[in-house]
Amino acid sequence: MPLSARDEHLERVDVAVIGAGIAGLQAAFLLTSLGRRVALLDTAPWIGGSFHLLDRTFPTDSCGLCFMEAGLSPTFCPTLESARNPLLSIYPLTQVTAVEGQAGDFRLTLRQLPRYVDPARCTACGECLAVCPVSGPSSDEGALAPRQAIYRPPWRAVPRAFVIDPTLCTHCGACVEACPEGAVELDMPAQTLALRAGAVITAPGFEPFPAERKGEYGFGVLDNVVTSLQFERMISFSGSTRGRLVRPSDGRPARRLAFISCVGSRDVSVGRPYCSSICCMITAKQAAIARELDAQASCTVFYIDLRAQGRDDEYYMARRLNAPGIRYVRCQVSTIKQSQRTRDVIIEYWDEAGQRQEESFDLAVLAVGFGPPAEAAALAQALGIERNELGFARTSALRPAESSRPGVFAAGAFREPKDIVHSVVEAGAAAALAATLTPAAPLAAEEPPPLRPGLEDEPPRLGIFLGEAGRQYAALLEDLERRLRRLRGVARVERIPSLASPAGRDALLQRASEAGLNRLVIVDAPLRFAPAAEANLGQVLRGLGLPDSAVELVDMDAWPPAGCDVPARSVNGLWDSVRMAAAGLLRRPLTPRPAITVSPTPPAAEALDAVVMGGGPAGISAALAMAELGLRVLLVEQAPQLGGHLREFAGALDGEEPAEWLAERIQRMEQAGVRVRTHTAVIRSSRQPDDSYLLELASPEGQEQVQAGALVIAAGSLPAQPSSFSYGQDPRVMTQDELARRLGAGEDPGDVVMIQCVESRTAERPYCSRTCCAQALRHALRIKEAWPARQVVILYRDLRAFGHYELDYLAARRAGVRFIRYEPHQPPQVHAPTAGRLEVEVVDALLGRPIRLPADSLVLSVGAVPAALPHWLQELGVPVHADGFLIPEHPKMRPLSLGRPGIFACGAVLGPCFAEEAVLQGQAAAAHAAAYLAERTRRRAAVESIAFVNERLCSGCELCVRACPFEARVMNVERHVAEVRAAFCAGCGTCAMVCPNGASQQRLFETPAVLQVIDAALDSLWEAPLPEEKPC
Amino acid sequence: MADFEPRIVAFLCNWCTYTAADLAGTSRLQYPPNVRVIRLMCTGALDPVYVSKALLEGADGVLIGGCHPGDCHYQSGNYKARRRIAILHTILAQLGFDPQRVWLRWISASEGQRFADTVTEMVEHLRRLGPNPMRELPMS
Ligand code: FES
Repeated sequence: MPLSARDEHLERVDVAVIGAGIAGLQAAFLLTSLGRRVALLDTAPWIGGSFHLLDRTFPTDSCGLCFMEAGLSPTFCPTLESARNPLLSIYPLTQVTAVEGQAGDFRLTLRQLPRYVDPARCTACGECLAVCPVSGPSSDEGALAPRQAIYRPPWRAVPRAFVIDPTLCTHCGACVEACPEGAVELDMPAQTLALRAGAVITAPGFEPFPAERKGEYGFGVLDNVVTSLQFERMISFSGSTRGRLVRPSDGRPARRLAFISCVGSRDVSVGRPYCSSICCMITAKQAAIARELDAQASCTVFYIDLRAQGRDDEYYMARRLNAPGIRYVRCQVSTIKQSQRTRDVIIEYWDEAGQRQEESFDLAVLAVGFGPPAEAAALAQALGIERNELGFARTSALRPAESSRPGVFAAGAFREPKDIVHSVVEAGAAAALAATLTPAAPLAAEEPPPLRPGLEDEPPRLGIFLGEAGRQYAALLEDLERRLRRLRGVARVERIPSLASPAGRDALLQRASEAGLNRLVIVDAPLRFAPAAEANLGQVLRGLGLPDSAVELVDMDAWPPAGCDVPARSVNGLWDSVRMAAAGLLRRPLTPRPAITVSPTPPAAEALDAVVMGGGPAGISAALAMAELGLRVLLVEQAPQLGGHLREFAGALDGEEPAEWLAERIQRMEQAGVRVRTHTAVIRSSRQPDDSYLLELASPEGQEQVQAGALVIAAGSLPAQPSSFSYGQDPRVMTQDELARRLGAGEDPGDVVMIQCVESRTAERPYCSRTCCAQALRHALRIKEAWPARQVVILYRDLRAFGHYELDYLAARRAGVRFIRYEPHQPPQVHAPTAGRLEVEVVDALLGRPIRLPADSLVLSVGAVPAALPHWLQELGVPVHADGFLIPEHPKMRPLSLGRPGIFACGAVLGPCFAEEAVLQGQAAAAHAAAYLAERTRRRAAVESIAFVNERLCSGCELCVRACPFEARVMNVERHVAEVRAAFCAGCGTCAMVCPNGASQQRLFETPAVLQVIDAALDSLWEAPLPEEKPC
Repeated sequence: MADFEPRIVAFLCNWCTYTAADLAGTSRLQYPPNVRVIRLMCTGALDPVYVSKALLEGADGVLIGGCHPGDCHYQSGNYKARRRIAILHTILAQLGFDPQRVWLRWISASEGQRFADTVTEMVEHLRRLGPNPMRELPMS
């Protein structure tokens, strides 16, 4: 479609990503590292979604969000990094109102609401907060953290300019007058914008269940009842109580904590029939962190089923269940009341013995469920996509990233509530598919700017520049300037406008070049993470012909506590940091930041971009997606045919026929040029000097060699072979897979007893296989449908019908399937007489007495075990867990990377998963592999703190070679010195630390310079004690 | 010892604790001004020589701050630091320094308050310990 006249001013991007939470950001990062231009839209005033709520996540109990960007060097939090990303444009406060066109060429109409504060002028000084007269509950923390009508966004927010909440603002105008920069505009209008994009990814996230709708739990009425989101903020150091557990009623320590599960989940009465999937894990994490924050805290968790799904979750939960101070009580909480005298929370529940119990607590935390966001209906309409009966985006089991409209993809909690790791994977899948619709030029090369000639021989000439960043710093600067004038060894001390402004940039460039400076200390308002200031600084350096190592920034705000009323305290801190910066700079050599390219070694064999090992749903999805992204791909499968477990599927999966899907994918792979080798194994692999892999393939036809830049391991898992319950001796005893085959053939199984968790979640096989409960429910429903008179009984430990599988659980109960829970120490017993029916005896955990169940078929849910992995994987350093599955680099944020360059994994080789998840992981692994390959061979600037070796001092001891975590250090055997492989150096400095001779050094952190800084840090302390410094 | 103001040199990793210190400043959190911050890329790059130098030159305490276990941006720098500091503690004890003058803490980028709390705690702790014995020696 040609551009019409009205479209000329449109911003044109490759992909529009709607929703800037975890899924949206992950998709955006992957796409930009594939060279796609991305517009990132969010209805909130800043990007980040639920990032801002989280300090720590399970299963690491740490933050980990900064591992999202899987580049070659480390990064900060994704929101902060996104502000620096040149291929990304950010649209806060923006809704999509219409989408016209089709895949490859969409036209989006956007409505951007006013922020009422001009982000270009706001310096976040906070003068407006001092005058704003109104306040109300905050959106995340509710009444626990009231905020004013004008407020400061959370710390990681981008943009970080202040915002006015129009629902609170009274238009009194006080902030307009107070703002020193004139940034507040109370009459700022809403705007209509338009955007053209080749593909759309929609990931608007979730919304917590409004807890007040569960009246019997007293949220909003009782003082000491909070939601899990509010509690999350309490245990966060950035939250309302800054990591202190207190009772909202009186601020006293909250020690006796109650957690109530499934509030607004699995609850037909409030219209939320599904399970929210993540609340059990959130609760387990919160209880653990509460204990960490206060060793005297006692946590009681009231729950129905423990739905730790899969490997990692099960391991995490097992640790929590047995942790001291944490008690799990299986029950249904009936009401929550409060003591009028003590304000204690009183929880009433029926225990498993049917007794009414009452317990009192300091604080009750409601683990609220999650639903689609409020704007879901309008958004789906604007996008022209369908939603399912639960209100989430409609997708299908084998095309899980695709919405009902071609070219529009869905990811994250908009498909159904889910854990971060699944959002991250889905975002990767959506990114891969969106990228195939929007071909882009290869990534531009990055050239470090040239340095001015003769710089090495110049004696150091240092200038100190004080940026005038706002009224609040005026007194501080004056004081500092006076002191600095007395400092020796400084060529210039000057005031300039803040470097965040063009005027500051020009002034700095002009004065520094006039004075012939080659070292600059810049004192200013926070410039870290301020993209405009960073760009200005880049221009100044380019103008002066200086490297980035010629500058030190000193942040006026970082000094304790600049905002307080005793300027002397701050000025001492600032004064010292300026001196420390200057001292370090004067000792620092001005070396350029090198540019690097990995030059591919001439291939020893046929050269490919990627080899995928394993032809199940994950491997097929990975191979196809990579080939459609233009890579040369080889798919290797040991079995005679492709398809893996998918071939075992009897009947449709969510309305899709696996056999059809398989046939379609195989055909598309052919079209996209994927080479497929069945009956073939990779028997050897070695890493080449350029970090590609040389693989040896073996098949009945013989052996051959290929070379590939990336490997995707999709070896899958195998169904476990049970040894209990007379399996193998009695044909009436079968596994769920075998039942599937019989049902597929139309065989009537008779009355059925199913046993869950057979030989799973035991000491020998401690993990949960994630898929068995859903599989059992599906089979039970099929039996009831075909033969309604048949008895079906499911014996379970925890029924893990998470997400929409809960609907199957409901349907099965309605269809008359019986569910009996057993305790692991009282497993069911089977009597299998040769004549007569089978009989299963089990102690019903609820009734506490044995029950006998006659049956014609006994079906065992046996779970999955890892496939045998080739030995060379471990030789390449790929980590394997004791349970036999692969260990990802980061369980949450890098679930498909294995910590070795260019090796990725997807599907059940990482732990048992559904076919749907295998497809998503395959597509996501494709996106990651493609991004890795694009970055690897591009010419780019090395990390700024890259290591280097002073060969004169190197004794060739090889300590650094062993210490480097990135294999960036090798021996030069001819010269017998260590050498840096610049492309792989991440700039940590470990090598410099271990070097006994000072030969190994790190740019920006050279040992003599650091020692000088330590001196400077202590010098002034000796000279000038700090008598006037008393805490304010 | 009421007017004794301990002097702390802090070595903080770029990604986590340095950013937390930044955050403490920009969020205007109140904490004692007795600390001077030196940025390193990773606690794994902290040469124990830096710590001893700071102590020998009269710092009353040294604070080392890094990413939480599992969160190091260079895989395992913080674990390496933990081992080195454990060894350094025993050496310091043998030299007559109270090893509790050297603190290793994990503070993530969002934990500005935890940084402020840590500094406050450390200042109180050092007040109880008294000045660095090196400061009693005549300076050369
Ligand atoms: S990067 Fe923070 S401790 Fe290693």
